[in-house]
Amino acid sequence: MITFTLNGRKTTTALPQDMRLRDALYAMGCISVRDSDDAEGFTGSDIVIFDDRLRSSNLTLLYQAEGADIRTAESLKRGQELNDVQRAMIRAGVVQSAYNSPTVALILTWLLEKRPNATRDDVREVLSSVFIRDAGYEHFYLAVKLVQEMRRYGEYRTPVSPSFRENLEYIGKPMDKIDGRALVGGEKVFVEDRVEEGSYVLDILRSPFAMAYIKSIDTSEAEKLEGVEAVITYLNCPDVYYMQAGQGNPEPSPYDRRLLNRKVRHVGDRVAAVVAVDHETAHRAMELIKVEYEPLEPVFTVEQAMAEGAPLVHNGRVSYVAGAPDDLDEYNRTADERDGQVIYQFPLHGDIRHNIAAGAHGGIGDVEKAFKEADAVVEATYQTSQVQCTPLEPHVCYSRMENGRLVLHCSTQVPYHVRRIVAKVCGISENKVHVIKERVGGGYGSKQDILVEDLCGYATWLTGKPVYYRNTREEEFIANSTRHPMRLTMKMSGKKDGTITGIYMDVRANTGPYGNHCLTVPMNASSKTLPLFAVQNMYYDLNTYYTNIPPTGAYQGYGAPKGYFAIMSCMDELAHKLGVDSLQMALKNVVEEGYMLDILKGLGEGREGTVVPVGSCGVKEALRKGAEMIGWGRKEKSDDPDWAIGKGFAMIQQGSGLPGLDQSNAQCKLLPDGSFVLLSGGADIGTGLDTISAKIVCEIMKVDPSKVAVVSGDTDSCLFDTGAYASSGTYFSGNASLNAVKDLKRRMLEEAALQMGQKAEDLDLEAPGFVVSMKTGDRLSYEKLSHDALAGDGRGAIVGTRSFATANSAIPYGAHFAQVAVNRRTGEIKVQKFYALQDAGTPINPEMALCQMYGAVMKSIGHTLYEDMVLDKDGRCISADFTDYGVPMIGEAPDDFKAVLIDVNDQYGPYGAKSISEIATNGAAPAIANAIYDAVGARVRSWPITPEKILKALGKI
Amino acid sequence: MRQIFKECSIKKSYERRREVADAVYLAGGSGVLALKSPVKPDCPLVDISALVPKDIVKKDGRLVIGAGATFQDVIDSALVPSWLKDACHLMASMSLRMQATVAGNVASLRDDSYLIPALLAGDTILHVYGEEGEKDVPLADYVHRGGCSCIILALSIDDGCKVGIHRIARSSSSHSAVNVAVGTHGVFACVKGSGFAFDEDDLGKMEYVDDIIDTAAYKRYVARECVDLLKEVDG
Repeated sequence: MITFTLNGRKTTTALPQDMRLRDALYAMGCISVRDSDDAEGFTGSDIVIFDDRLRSSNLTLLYQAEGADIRTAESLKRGQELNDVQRAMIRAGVVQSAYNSPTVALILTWLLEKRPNATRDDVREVLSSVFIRDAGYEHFYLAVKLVQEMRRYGEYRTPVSPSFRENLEYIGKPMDKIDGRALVGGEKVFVEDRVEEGSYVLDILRSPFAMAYIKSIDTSEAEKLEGVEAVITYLNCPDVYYMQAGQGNPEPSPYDRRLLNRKVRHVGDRVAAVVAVDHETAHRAMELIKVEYEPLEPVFTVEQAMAEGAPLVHNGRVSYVAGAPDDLDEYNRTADERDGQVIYQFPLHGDIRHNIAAGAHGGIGDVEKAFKEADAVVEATYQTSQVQCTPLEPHVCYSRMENGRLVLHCSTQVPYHVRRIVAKVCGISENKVHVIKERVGGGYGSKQDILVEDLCGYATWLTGKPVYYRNTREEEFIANSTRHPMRLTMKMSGKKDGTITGIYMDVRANTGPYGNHCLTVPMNASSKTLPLFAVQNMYYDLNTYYTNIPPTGAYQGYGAPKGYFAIMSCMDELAHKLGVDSLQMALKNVVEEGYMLDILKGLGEGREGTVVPVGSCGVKEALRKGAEMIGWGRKEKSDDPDWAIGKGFAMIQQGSGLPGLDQSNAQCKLLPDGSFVLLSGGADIGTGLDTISAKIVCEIMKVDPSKVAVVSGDTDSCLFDTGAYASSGTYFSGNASLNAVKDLKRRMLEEAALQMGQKAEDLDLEAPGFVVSMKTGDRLSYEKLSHDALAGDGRGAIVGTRSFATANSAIPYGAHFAQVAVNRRTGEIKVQKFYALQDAGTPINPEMALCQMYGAVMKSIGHTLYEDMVLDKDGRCISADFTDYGVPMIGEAPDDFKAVLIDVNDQYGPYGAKSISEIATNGAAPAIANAIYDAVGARVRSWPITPEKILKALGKI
Repeated sequence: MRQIFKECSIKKSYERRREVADAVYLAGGSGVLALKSPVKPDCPLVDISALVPKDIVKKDGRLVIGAGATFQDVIDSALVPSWLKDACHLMASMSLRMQATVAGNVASLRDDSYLIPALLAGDTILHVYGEEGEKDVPLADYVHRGGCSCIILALSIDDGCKVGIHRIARSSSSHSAVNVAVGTHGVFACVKGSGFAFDEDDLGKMEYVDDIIDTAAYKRYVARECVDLLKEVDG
């Protein structure tokens, strides 16, 4: 028995003394103590206060707690009331995906107990223990300041963000996130918190080879083991082809896999899945599975995959649901049945016999002529690396049966795609599947893909057992989705006056073993960059290759960060060659409102794109303001001659969802007491989408947030939504909520007109919850309105239901500026200043928008300077933990870091809003690369930009 | 279940470790219990955390740090010179600093050690318990020998000397490629994949290797450059 004081109470436990303290505390009900790194001691999600010191509970065994005084985040609340640090964190906007928010609240509370006047340096010190991927670190300083103000003055005095739209009460104003209390308070909100006692586990035997055929697999001994419920292999899994990308149906990605395949295509690929009573049994079972492989020569790079006679990653039979070429039979003559099939929903210009998964080509004008007639032409190749989303909560799923239906508790960005794909894999109709999107502890694109729900769901459907699956951190690296590595060859021409006359982009993307997003990610490298340029001659060639690297997929920014690295670096090179200031070149060649985007015609998602004019556009303002802030044109001098200082920038854009493809639906109900529930199909992944929906209800219904509840991402109770990806949340799901609430208002007025004996057009809504006649002044409370509608002689529930689909774009723009210091002798780099200026239309949640910008910039500083998935010669990822991989922590945050919202009102977005966070991943790589060049004259054209590459570029090594 | 021993004395702990195959000492635990630790998850533990001293004192003109003192204890002590505090700060995470012991970092003999180059430059002498009971061992000898089965009890440091440190790592929480210390007592370094250098000659002759972060050529170049930089600062 181990006895210690836990949150002020003496506690005795009989749990095993060699159990990790983290696991023990979680089992004892302290669910705020999370695990993000499998005891690496890196992320800090598992930190507790142990004898008044910070301590990783994952690096502590239970016996060490004997006699200790331990505090977890559960100690912070008094009854239902959050403590002041928790409240300030919500107010500051840092409670986003929030997997470790309770722990951070605990750490900051402890800090303020020690140092009530804690400084910025003190905060930086304690947060050195915590990895924060979503919100960056900047507003945590603000949260501490707010606590200090509240304690000193009884009020918050520092604005957490600017406010927008004076005529509106909630939209554009900071407001506590509606799920913030549950998240920072450490409530049971994540998938792991739903797992019931006695649930089974799923473990996966993974391939040691980068490419191999499974010659034989014998699971008989494993199946005999007591406690093993099922062993699933390619021999007994459903013969259903699908793909794991959560994209709109029909998808622009090939169906090139089954649950398990006879051919393994990367180290870590699924070989067998074991359903057992516990992990120990599952691991023993996996050891009993006998597999004989026929290893094949793998390919890892685009160059290897392109080579004549290269080994084929997929050499199965190809078919098309629509648009099959005439020579398909001939094409399939050399197919190998062991490779399975590749099914295209429609042609993507793929050629798997040459490892090409997809391709696209097109443009406007005549680039060759432009190059011939130019004063200068720059041609260069840029390389981006494979990087990982690293959500603090790994991929996880809990599935169970209920009344003959399959229920999945998911951490997903796409509940409706999960439902469709799991139903397809299981061979059942969608009404048999209920997906419940829990709070998502970080997604960043990787949870757009159905990477674990397919197998976990099938395991339950097969066995009838409740099954829990959770990726280890290593599995997050080797069997998850990552950014597609790309090789981008740019050619850009210009005139002496700074006019860009032609742009050519040759994008070669590496999709790895399967074709998730194989067309659309590389297409984004062009479709989100070229439309920013008012250039008459532009052309792109895109080809995506299958290889045997770990899987790729969606990652915040999609293909755009890679495209921007190439195009804005290239523009900087051209400006230098022409002797033109690159900022002036940007201002001269950037689009503005009304410019017709002909380039979009070929840049649809495998279909013809829609040509539209540029709508609201704040890019020039962002460029000018950013230039002023950073002192563009002024050369900074370093006090230390070894360090040189340089500046760079990038102009950027993204999109807001996929016009013409996406659709969102929402429903808003007036409840009997006059309060509201909004049901949104949209998946809030921590970004505040539910709060946007709530604000819309508050704004239109003129009620305060306490009268509004939002339910989202539950496929049974909510209506269809394409999902939270491609920056669609605010624009699509927000507009659906807006339409539904407007519909509810119309119906409320119609019902009120009948109840009040007035005309609906004479009625309006009034705070705090009345229908009022503008003619007579008569008032009817929402409560009475609803009550009478629901009475025995009433006309029924008052519900607003609407969808949103559009062909119109609401494109966010921006400019990012960096100032870096580079050590000429060691190559060390420090980002001194980073200013991110973005036009997000009306930022509905401005404080959260700022935090998302900080978080996204930190991610992109990470892929620019530090992060790298390194494979050995056999394709094994040898940087499969946080330390080796190299995510940026608070120590890597710029010294002077500012996010600025450019005030632009969009004509299509809800209340003028556009998307916010994806675009913020686009600027750092080119801005920093250009700043490094400005500092020391080293042009590094590949990620990550390391000290070694700088020294090489300087000819020092 | 993992075997865990908590003995009543250093002597008994030492004997226990010798009699139990594969057993390791546990003090702070941040290294032994971490993912990718060379210590296997079922390896028996001899917990010495309650037995080793934790105090930091001045004794006979030198700074003495108890083996159980954590990195953060060193940072918080008014007796510790700034160069040693800076070295402790190289471990970026405060929670790890509050758990990891100075002696543990020495005993692990990692080639990306936060402290060993600085401690070597501080002419550190280890006070250990071993086969012959308690004795003093210069840190340089301990590192040269590749450690020993003894228990480190304390570190005695020339806190009056001048030491400059420079750690090259891709980010604050990454492994270092090179960690160099230059001071009154000489030039010392650890190089990822290669081990320790005890003077400039060692650094020049060392066999550098490519690893997942950096190439041998870079490490060789930057190690030399760090030494020069530190010497220039020192004047």
